[in-house]
Amino acid sequence: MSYYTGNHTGDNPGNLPSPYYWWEAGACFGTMVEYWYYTNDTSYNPSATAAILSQVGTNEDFMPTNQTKTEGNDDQGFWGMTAMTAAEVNYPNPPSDQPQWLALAQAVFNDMVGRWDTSTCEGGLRWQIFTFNTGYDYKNSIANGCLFNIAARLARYIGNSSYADWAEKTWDWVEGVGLMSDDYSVYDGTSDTTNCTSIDKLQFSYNQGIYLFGAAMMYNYVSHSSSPSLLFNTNPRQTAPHYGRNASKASSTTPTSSSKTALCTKKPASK
Amino acid sequence: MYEEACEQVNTVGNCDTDQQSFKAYLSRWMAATTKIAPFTSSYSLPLLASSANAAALQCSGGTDGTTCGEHWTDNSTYDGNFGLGQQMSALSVIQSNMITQAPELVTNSTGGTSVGNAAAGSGSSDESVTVIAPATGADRAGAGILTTLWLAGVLGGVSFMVAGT
Repeated sequence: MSYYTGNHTGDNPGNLPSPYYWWEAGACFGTMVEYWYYTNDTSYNPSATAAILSQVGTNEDFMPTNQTKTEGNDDQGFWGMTAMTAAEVNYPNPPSDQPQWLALAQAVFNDMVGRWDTSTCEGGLRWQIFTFNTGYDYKNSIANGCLFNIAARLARYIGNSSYADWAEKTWDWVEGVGLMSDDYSVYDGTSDTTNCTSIDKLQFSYNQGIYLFGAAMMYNYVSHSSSPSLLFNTNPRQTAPHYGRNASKASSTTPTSSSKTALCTKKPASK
Repeated sequence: MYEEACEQVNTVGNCDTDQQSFKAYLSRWMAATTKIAPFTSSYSLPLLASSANAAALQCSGGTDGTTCGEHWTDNSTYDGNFGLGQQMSALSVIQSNMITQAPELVTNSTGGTSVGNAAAGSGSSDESVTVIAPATGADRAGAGILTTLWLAGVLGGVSFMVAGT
């Protein structure tokens, strides 16, 4: 938290100093929410709560005016996931006249659903929200992962199948377009300039994690049915062979040196 | 746990500021996954433990002696690569080892108190989620098989970036 200067007089709450982008501030306060969850230490709660609420914007959906020229779906998504985490760990609620954690996550979900883009690649979310930003033509795993992750979590939290439907729809698109391999490696993205026929196969740990947690949420969501026929859900041991096979298969994957050299040029400088 | 883009390749590792924080999120999601899909614990908890150990060894730099480096694979040899992402990653993986003592993740029927609004945001009202068709038993059974395969598969994919040692 010593990196955070937003609670200094004259500085901007919820923002980190350069070189840290706005999205990482959103992720950082999610980590601080979990810090409270793990430790019960409330020392940082006032700063974290104030920071999160300072970035909700006039529509209460994490589209604040000071970010709207550069904000991408993943940027908004990370703030939305922080709000969802706050709901799931029962982080102290804001005063009732302020936006609430669950509603903020729903707002991000609704915005993203409205941006689902069938004009190319038969669906998917674009990385960027606005046409003038570099990366608007890029449909990537992290943007779609944010939608999948939030949708799955809302399905479980609220018990509403509409959210689950969107989680499934997003997963199917990601898998169908080839951003997820047969052994569940998650690749970075694809361009709609080629109608998503070529895949950028860079791998990042957060892409793997965002789909992992969303899939776990869907697993949990469907497990809490009263139907006795859910053998696969009620007896996790049944999944062990499949899971073990994928684990060993994936661990034998050897990264190529060519992929490493391109890794650090992925994000456009304008971002 | 390692971030491929941020590991040392031939000479000196080089990755962007964003990527230096990614291990924080994988750590958080692996830990939280064990709460809602307990069968993943036997796979993930040992990896989170060994990764936390490695991260702690790397947090030996700076004038304060507790600044964290980027390369957990370097163990106690501080790599001099510091920043918010490195601190956040180390904090996340270390505190994630308390997941078994942490409370369950709630829902609105298991003690969750956060208030929702299905119409929140500026999205199209046509996409409103207020109209709900209840899932049938068959829907749920099908979804159950599917999501189990998803989860097991994605967890397997994690092993690409998390080694046990």
